[in-house]
Amino acid sequence: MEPTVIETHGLTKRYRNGVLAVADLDMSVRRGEVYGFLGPNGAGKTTTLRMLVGLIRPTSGWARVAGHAPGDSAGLARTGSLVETAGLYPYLSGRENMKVVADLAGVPHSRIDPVLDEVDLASSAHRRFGTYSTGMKQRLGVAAALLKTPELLILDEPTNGLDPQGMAEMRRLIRELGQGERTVLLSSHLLGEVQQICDRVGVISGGRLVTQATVAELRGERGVLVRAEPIEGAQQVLTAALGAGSVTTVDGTLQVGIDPARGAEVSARLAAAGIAVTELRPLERSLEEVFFQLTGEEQGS
Amino acid sequence: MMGIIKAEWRKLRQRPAYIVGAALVVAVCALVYGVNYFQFTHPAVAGQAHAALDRQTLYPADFVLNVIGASFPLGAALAIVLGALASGAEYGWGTLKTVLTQRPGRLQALAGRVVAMGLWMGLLSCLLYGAGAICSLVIAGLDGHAVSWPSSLVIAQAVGATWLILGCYSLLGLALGFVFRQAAAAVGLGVIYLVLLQTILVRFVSGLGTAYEWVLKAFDGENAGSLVQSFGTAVPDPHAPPPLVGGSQAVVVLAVYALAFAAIAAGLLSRRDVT
Repeated sequence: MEPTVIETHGLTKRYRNGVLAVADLDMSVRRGEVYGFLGPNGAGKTTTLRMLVGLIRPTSGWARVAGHAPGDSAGLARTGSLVETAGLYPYLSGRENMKVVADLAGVPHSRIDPVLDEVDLASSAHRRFGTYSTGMKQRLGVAAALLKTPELLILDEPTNGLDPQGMAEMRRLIRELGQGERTVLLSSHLLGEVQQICDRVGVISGGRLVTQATVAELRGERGVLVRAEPIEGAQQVLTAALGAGSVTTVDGTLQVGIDPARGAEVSARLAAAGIAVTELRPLERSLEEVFFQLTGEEQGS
Repeated sequence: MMGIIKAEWRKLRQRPAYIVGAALVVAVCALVYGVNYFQFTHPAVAGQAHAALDRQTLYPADFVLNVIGASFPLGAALAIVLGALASGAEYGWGTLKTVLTQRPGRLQALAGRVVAMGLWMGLLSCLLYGAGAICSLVIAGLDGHAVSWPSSLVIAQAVGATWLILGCYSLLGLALGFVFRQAAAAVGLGVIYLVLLQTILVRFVSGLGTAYEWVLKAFDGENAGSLVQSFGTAVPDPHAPPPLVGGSQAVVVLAVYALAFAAIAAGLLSRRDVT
């Protein structure tokens, strides 16, 4: 089996109206990981995913998805996808929709009940899809994507339009789906969601992939945060030990620019000076900070 | 391929518009027979013109001639609507992406839809003639008239002709749905083309003289009308012009149109991005 489930090289899409939606995208998603595809609205996430499932043809570049060209029947047979909203028939019941998808995918109808159970919709399967809430619709969309028992699951903004409870349920579902051998490509602009769920992320901005790394690599570790009493005394002790440039005061805490592995040393020095340490932890950037830095967007905008 | 056809058939047979369409075919047939029977049995109310009609045309022997007239343009208009709904609504609901991200390729998916649509048009044709046969049988029973049927060959040919007309125009609707990527515009343009645009064009070409009669013979509407006329009429009209083309030629031309509409749909679906 190939180590990468999705690989793109120079993938580019320019629409007829001249808009460059995706530019020279090189991306790789490894087998078995939950990969977060991050980017602000209009960054090119959905266009990329639509190219990966064969709905949109790239202007240039190439992609391999589940070992095949995008849109190839053999590749689609191993790929489940939910692109934006769940595209199902409003006049059919949830179960009848599943039958349609199963017949199209060449999957036996015996797969329907287990999949409906998995997304917790078995009791609502007799209802018309048009009467479902947004959260139920998205879950049925995920169920449709799971019918093929896919090794690759592509989910595009699956929590869009959901209320907090629906979002939490969807996050739980995605976490469960990402366990084991299945590869999940999750597109989102919700950073907390990605930080909680994903192993690795790719950040796209203006159609270009800005970075691709693990969440830990992106957040980085840049020191330790110390909360102590008295704070002035703690600052004096640590400045004397580590140098003035290494210690800064921020909102009543000290940010110490050392390897977090030396946290015990900081604690020991302060204790020896009779200073009580109330909090000491690695100082990490949130994914949100990293995202805004990479995409050039302003926080809170 | 069977799976795709099953999926498409499941979508069609449960879709309210398709069920209403089928009910409409039966209801219109029953209504026409009912109104005509009323006019024959109440000549004072209906007036002289209707009273002069031959009551026997409502009996089973003539039911094919009574029913086939519903194929064009009424049936054709219904077929355009159903065809346009089958393709255009898939864009609005976002279901096209679901269809195309399952296993079958684009052309296979379209082929499955065309087959299912063809089956539904066949069902509508059978319903139309079935309803006509039952209505004529009821009227013959009411009048105590002996029952005799047209030959099975004539019935089969008539059902086939209606199926060809409905199939051809459902494919026009289907292609227009792909052109506009929505149902409303496809229905609108399709019906306007059928009842207005083509009529204007035919009148214009007719005015150019006999040298351009070959153009007239190429219009789908002229061929559909001629195919219907080739079976004759229950009440012959001595002033009606003869059919422009023969039944065999009409079948060929309509089949070519059907293939052309399917090819347009295939070209659009296979080449266009689904955004």
